[in-house]
Amino acid sequence: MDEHTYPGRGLSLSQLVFALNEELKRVAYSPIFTLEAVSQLDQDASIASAAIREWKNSFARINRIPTDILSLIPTYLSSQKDRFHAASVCRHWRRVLLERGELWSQLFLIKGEDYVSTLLERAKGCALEIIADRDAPVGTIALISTCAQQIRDLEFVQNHLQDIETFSEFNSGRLPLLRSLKIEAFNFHSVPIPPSLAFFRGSINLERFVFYYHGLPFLSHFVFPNLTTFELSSRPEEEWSGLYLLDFLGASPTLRTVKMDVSAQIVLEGVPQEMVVVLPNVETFSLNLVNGIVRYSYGIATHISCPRSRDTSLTHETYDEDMGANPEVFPTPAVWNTIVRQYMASPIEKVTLNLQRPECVDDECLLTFRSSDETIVRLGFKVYTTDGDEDGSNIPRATIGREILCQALTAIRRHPLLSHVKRLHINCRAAMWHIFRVVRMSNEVPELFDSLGPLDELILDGCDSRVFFPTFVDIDSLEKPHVLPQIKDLTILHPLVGIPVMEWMNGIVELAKAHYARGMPFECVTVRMWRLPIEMAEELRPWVGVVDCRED
Amino acid sequence: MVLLVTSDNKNFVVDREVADRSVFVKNTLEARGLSIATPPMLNGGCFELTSPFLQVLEYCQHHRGEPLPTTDDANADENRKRTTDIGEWDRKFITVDHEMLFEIILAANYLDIKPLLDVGCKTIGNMVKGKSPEEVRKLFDIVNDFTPEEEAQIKKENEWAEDP
Repeated sequence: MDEHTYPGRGLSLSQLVFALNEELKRVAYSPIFTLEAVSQLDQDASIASAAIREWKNSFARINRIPTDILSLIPTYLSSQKDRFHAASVCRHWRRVLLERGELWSQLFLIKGEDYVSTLLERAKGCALEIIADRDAPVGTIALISTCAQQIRDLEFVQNHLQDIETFSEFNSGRLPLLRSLKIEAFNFHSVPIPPSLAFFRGSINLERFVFYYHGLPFLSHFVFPNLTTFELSSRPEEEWSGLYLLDFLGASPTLRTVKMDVSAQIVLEGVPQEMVVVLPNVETFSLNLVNGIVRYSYGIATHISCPRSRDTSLTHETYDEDMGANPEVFPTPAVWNTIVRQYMASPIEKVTLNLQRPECVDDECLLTFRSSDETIVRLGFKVYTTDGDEDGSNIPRATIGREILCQALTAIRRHPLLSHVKRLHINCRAAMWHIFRVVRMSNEVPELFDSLGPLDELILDGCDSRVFFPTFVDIDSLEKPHVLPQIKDLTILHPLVGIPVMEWMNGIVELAKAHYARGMPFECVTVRMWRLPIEMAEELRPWVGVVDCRED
Repeated sequence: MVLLVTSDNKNFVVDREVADRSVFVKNTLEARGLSIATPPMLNGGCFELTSPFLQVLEYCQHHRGEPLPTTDDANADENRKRTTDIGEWDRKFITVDHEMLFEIILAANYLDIKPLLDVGCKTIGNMVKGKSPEEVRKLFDIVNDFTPEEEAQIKKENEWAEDP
């Protein structure tokens, strides 16, 4: 208990009441007894009453916690509203909270000058986090500029780029502490002339830059030599040159995380074919392009190299009406080779294919290539349905999913470092396989399996077994014989049966027999499905090492 | 094994690994080469340890073997962004009445068990979250001790409290 924080210490309650009474008598009998004197006395009594209540509060159990511990509690209040409320509970709490400058270091400029000046005073010399809305009063900007050297995090919300430029110019070279800069700007067209000077010059310690803008021409006007994180979200309506992006990345060699989400065509005109920006320290690289052309998406990726990236994601989103009759979904072999070389030079150990059709509307496919050192490359493709209007699409809606899957299987097959893959996991549980024609798919599967060596594990989740296993396929309809590689563990989860269940079971048993006859029996077959034939485990057991069949 | 003796002369024999969750006990034992920790004292008086100590002991036994915090959270600026999540077991453990909660916090502070102190402070923080000043006063048996002038200032501030 820190008794020293309580005024009135040393004066007992009875002594205090006695003193008040004496003062009342003195005033009442005084020849200068006036209304002002009574008012003064009333005020004194109010102060004394507050002091008594404060004294009483010192007996509240929570207030007997030492001040240094009590002051830790508001650090767990993340919202400013809770802190203001906590500082309004009693005088003791107020003193404790006002003592900690870091609790008041987040400033929303839109709240006005009184607010800003009060909080600046409370924050003392602490590092500041400034949130500048578009409608922030001009006076608050001026106030903030007086302590620019304290600003650590700076966020512009829905601001005109001109205003940001003005702030940048005014505080040029005065932001030594700035670590994080987030700009959500608009009104690109009202700035016809590119700025003559770089934005936020001298912010040499900036580590994180988040840029939301509907154009990129000014990106190269941001130069932060020690940047480690870059997030870009851009929604321009026209094409823009990939050079802006490449120039910016090239000037940021210390980047470790790059996340870009762009809705535009990144055209490569003017980009020298041999140009490759190497980002030697990037560990996470993500590029998502919306509504562009696939070859441009992967094209820009080939001009960037992240040799130490542990997690690379290249994804593309489009609308079905923008898909051509022969849509490109995944990269061509040459581009694929370049991407693998520049982002993931390790042999692949595991491949996962996830095909989904969320809410039975959009098609989504994600390919994940994982190496033995846990390096990951993802290729993703998503098609949005246009208002359910099938006529808007250039290819029949029902065949889009099948086309994506076919190309995904081809992309797996074409991976240049696939020969060491040990595990293949195909998950189509959330897709609607039954609408695909089986035979067309079956011709892609032999090509894929021909590319694979022996597998430790094949997991088919939510897949139509007829597509993957030769015992189901009408051989005459295949362009080439269908042979599975050696597989140690085969797992079939929630298969889409599509034929009488006993016929399906017999097909799986025939598969196990065929592998047994080839001298490469499955070590383990796992099946999880609804309405599992009760004979299945018994039928499989003679041909398989371990059988694990259960209803699920 | 380590013998811990509380101020009310209750003996507790615990594994060294459990005792070492307390930086105070760990340092004491290491500095003196002892296997007996003397009764902790607080503010010059005996610290009534038995009841909260049993709770603290339960916490240390549950978390034995986990890595200890290597450094103090020196970066005070980051405090504001601390997570307020509490693990499932810790949440059940700390679901006690106010009196015991404060005792556990005091014990954790004195015995220098930072993770437990964090759990205690987060718990109180979570109690305060989303409540008006009046609700917090009621929760902790506190009266409004501001003068009318102070209240006027606070009222103005609380208008700023609303999210932008």
